[in-house]
Amino acid sequence: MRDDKAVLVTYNLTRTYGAVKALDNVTLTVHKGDIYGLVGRNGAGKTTLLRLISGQSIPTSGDLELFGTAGHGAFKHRNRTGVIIETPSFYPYLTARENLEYYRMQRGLPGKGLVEEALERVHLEDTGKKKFKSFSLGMKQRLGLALALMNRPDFLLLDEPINGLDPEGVAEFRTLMKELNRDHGTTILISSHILTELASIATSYGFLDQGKLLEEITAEALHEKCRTCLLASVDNAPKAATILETALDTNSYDVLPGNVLQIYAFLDAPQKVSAALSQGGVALYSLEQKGMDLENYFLQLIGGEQHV
Amino acid sequence: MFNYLSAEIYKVVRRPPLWVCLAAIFAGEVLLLYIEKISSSAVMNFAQGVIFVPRLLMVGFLAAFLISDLVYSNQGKTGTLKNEVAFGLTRLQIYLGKLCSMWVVSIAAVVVVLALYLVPCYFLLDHRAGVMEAMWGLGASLLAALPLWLGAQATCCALCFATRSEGLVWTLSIGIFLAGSTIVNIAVALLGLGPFGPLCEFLVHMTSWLPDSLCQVLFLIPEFNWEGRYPELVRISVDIIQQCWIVGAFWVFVPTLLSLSNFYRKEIH
Repeated sequence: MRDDKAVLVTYNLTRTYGAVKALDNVTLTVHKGDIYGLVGRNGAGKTTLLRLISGQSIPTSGDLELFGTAGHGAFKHRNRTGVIIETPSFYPYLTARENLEYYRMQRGLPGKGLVEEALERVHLEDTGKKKFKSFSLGMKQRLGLALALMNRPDFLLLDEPINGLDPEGVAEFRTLMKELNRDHGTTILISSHILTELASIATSYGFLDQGKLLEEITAEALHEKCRTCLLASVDNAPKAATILETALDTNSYDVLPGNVLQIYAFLDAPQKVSAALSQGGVALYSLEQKGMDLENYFLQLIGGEQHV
Repeated sequence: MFNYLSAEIYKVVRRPPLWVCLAAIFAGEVLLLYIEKISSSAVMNFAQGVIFVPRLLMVGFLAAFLISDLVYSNQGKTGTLKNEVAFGLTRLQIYLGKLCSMWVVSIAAVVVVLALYLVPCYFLLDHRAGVMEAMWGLGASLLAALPLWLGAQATCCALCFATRSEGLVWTLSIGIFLAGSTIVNIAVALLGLGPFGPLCEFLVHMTSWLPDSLCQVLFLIPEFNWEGRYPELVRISVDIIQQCWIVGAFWVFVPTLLSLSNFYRKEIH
């Protein structure tokens, strides 16, 4: 359940590497109780953003607020977070249990039961004496998740967390995230290439491209925007918009780049739209009915048919 | 810090190389004790067994390199530093935690290794006059060597954080602490061929301040009396001990400050 309190706020967060701006003035907000989906292509800046939030990287400029504390003091709240960024890393010569016990001791977390609880949650309780270096990718990912959950965090930062998981693992992960969010109020910031999975759990989205935040939107608003519509490609979008409002008495439309209108009315009577535009002197190149999923929405946002 | 130290020790004792090295050292000590025992008791006794120890002070540097490796565990390559940073540990805490862990393990190792040698010596070898003098001599050597070892450890720690290459860490550590005076002497010999007189004089003077040179001063101080009586010890001067502490402090603070300032700005992968 979303709360108006912000767990994370970034203010014009920028990270440059030489001449390359990996992140460019990103300002976003993750509210308490959100499952915030970070969507972007390879190299868009998702991992860079998560690394800045987790303290692995230092911003070139800008600031961030974690649990209401900004600047240098934000690190004090990092013990309320759980993080998986890139491939999970552990000591190769230790077992799963020993690795988690090491971090439990280091972090001063009370109770040895925490380790067992974390391992059971990700179904790694039977790994015995197997060293981390012998783990499969899926097992490594599960152990990373176990570490992220061990301190019972209020805020989870997950970068491609279902990499390497089998379908059963993906389903379990989805259920676990929903359970943590629903039953424990855990706020989750998750980046994933697998948009169908993201769409099944996210309550808010942030769309990143080339280091810039293109849009932030709630799942409800996105659903509204993606609902079935008529896509009309015309020669003069402003004139067509006027005709829709005056002749058809509707303002249920959006004007998109490239003289395209997205019309949410007259879905059962598209011929009325074509007739009105034609009578108003607007050339109609195409008129088709379309609904959008998250992937198509994102592709449209970045302005092209390119892979995520 | 206590939590951090506990975790590091938990990790280190689970590293097989630690136990392999201790076993190898113990085997070496058993061999040494055997040789001492079968030597003529007119020559070999407990006091002489004790003053043999300073001759092995340089081993402390090798131990420092190894312990740094055991504690740091090549975190630059394994990527495990990110887990510590992400939980909110400051970079200062992480760095000092690793360094203090190395020191704790080193000191514990010295105590164990010394005990494994001296206790059997006490029971196996004859006791004659000169035991207290020998023990004081050993104590003074250890007091002088301790800061040098701590400095070697701090330098290795600094190198571990600065580079991902284990080979480079070992090469530089050995170069500074085990072969420093040799390298300087070679440089002096080469520079002496040209018009670098004042520079050569400076380098020759600086050689006496290098850790390996100081260690050699320490282990040459106890001298055997080959007539089979108790050893006549040349006492280690307070000046030498002070010099060792100054040199040790240099190798603790300078590399630590340089490496820490670099670590603060570093991207953690």
